[in-house]
Amino acid sequence: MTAISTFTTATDRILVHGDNQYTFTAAETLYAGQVVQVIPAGGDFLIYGGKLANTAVPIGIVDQNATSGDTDVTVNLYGCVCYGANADDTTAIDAGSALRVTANTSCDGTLQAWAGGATEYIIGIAVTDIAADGFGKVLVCPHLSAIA
Amino acid sequence: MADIETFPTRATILVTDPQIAPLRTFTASEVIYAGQVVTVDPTTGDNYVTPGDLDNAAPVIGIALYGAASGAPITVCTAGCICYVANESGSAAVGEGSTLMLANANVAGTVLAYASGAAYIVGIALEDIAANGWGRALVMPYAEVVS
Repeated sequence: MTAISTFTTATDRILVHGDNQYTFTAAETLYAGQVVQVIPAGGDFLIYGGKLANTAVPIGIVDQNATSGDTDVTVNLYGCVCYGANADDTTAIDAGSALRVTANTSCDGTLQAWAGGATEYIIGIAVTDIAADGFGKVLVCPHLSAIA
Repeated sequence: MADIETFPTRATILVTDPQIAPLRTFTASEVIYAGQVVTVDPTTGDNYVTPGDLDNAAPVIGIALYGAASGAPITVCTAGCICYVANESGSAAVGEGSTLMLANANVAGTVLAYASGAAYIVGIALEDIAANGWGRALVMPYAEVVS
């Protein structure tokens, strides 16, 4: 596995299906397709690129690029199907995989397949294969994984 | 930490646009207040809901949109809604970003921050929820199971 170091630019619109969206304020630069979190002590309705170190369940996948301080940043929430990005540039993620917030510290907001075991922050389920260094469709249904 | 003694009142619960919010109608098996976390009533029958209480041993289904008398229809804000929830504590706030669980409190249908172990999860706090107060949360209920 080789972790990607820059977020892949989305070429398609992020939302595939659904209308459960809401707007938040960007706490940092965000890219369309990044998993985002509201994090402990991070500020009300402020969203951050998702990563394991944030220790928070993600809320969804951001629908647009944004810079820090932008308001009205649209996030695709529970029940939407939208594109998410693989954290790895050599290994695809299979359709049907539960997807967790990445441990890739060099590229926030990306996805990895959940392998079971330790508690993880799940964003949803891959409904298509997600190519290495690519995008795939994700059903957004965030939760904590079951505790082993 | 001191639990609140009565469920607080609030007029507006739903934050999400009601045109897109996943709202579902059930029947109240007892008095339910607007904003209470509700579960399916495990004893009353199909499609009855009751204020969330750990004694019910039932996962959360959502947040009551309005108050209802026993036997009356009640609209519930289900998974995906953003709505207001009530803190179980009269002395401790719940921070934004916290995973919220059904409280085992004096007052049914309230929330507290999840720490560990088995629990009935309600959702995620999107803002600080003041002690004895309300805050906006993304409703994403599930049962957290310890195997």
